[in-house]
Amino acid sequence: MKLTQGGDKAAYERLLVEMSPVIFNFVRKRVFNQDHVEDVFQEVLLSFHKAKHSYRTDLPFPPWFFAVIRNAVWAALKKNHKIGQLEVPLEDFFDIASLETMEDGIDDRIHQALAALPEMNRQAVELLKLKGMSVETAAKTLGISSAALRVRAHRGYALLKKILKTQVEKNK
Amino acid sequence: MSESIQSNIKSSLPESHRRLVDRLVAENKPTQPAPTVLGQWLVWLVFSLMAIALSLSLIGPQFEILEKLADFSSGGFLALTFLLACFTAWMGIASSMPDYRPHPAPRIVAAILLLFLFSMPFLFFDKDPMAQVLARDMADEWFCPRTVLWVALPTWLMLGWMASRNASFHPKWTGAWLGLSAFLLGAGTIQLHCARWETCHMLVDHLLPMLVLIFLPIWIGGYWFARWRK
Repeated sequence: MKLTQGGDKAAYERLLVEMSPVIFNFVRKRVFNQDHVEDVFQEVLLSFHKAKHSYRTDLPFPPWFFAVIRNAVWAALKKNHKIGQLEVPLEDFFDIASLETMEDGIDDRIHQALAALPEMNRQAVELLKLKGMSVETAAKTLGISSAALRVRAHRGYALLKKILKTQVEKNK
Repeated sequence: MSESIQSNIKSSLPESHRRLVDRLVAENKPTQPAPTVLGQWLVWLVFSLMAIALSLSLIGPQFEILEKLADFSSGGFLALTFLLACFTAWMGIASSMPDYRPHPAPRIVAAILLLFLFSMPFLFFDKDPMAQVLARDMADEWFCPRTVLWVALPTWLMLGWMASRNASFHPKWTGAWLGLSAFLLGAGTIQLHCARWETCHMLVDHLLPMLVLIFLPIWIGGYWFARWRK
């Protein structure tokens, strides 16, 4: 860890390779939803990476390490929970679109609704759903983190749902 | 661990883990280890003493300060205010460390002591009519609450700057502790200057800013101290 704090890349790689299975098992035991294990693991590893400067090399490593990853797991779960609350299932999104009774003009309406979204949410929805990019690629394209992209996209879906619903109610 | 075992472990990692490890290794730069909680707290203490000294040199201490310090009730009030400021600053810095384990005991202790501090003006000091307090505040343009804020703001910014360089997993709690510390320091400083040891004045002009504005450091802390994870 001392070498790592000094910027030694080989030492850091050794540390991460050795710690990754430990962190992964730690996360797997604490995250009940197996779909989230991978996301939480990545968040925890990133948090460890960003917090490593706070380790004091004169103190034993394991207590610090496990306290940090315990806190990181808790924080990642909280963050996932918040994103989950913002999330609009894709099925709902298409349900709304199918509420349109008129066959023609559906694409136009969706495009209009998309155009009404704030720039950052529109970009996220377009890259993920219209261009079919993966979260990672889309995040790289926009130069933001995957978590930030997810949040933007989920907010975009929620807004889109609202706009389309309003359109349907107006047509009625 | 030998290199062959190392490479075996690495090759057994899923592709996404390997990529993440490679990315983090590429990003690894030399870092300065963060100072200890005690070290940061001592920096805060020196800064706070300087802030109090500077404020008092500008506004001046009250004439009977030595008698007040020797008196059980007023001396106790001041001692409790400054001790609580020290305690909450320590907790704020400690909670900004990534290995901090939240425990209810410090929160309970702080809550009980704060409750006692707020009840002291009722228990030990003369009652004054609220209308008179407000009239005086209008006349001196809310001097006491303004001074509380002017002392609290720089000490909070300094504490916040130190805490933001750690890595807090409890940013709102860190914000709350640091906010309490800064307001308590402001309340203690103004009490060294203000000779009006009266219930309503102490509550409204010295302690109320803390109650009314504590949501601000909590709210700002939620963003500021969580920025390192973004």
